[in-house]
Amino acid sequence: MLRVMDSVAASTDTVRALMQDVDRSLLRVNLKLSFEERARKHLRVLRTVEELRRAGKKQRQKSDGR
Amino acid sequence: VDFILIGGMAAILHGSARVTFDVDVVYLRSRENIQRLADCLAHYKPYFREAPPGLPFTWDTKTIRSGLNFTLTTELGDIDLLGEVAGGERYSDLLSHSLEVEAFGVHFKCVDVRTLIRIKEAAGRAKDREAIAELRVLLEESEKKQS
Repeated sequence: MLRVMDSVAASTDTVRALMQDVDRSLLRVNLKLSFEERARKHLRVLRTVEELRRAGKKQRQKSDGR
Repeated sequence: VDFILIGGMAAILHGSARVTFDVDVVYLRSRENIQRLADCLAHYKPYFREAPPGLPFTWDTKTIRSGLNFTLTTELGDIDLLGEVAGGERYSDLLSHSLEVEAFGVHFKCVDVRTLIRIKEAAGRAKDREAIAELRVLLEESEKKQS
């Protein structure tokens, strides 16, 4: 039981420490947007990630001589 | 289909700046809803994520009724269909902790930030700690904005 309580306390401390590293400016910008605008913004990010993945794969294939 | 959006996509709707690649929903396990879920998702070729191809698998009411939580890959993307979340809560438990959202011309339910934090904490996964920290900051920031 004490071990479980220790682990919960450690986890809470970790979260508290991580909160210091959160970029609040990004969140403040997002909070000004509507639900749909937030979703659309995320979709744009996903498209960029997808493009980068594709480029990375192409590059790896090129390096492998395929 | 009666469902509540949870997980990373719900966090994004609440203002999270993190990126997520799958959709997590808690669905109502009523007979009618299971039928609707089976019908609507069947068009998008659902299959168990990470399962080897070619396994005998039919997405129908029998499959849904005999399981509870499904991690699927579909033509629409990856989706986790959860009958129950960490901590044992189901659709009916989460309903009063959700809000109605409209996006892309569709109305659906999304779990509130406090409950999202609670679910992630109950899951107890190390990988969720950064997300929990961000959600706590989001909560602080939205409270500041409201006051």
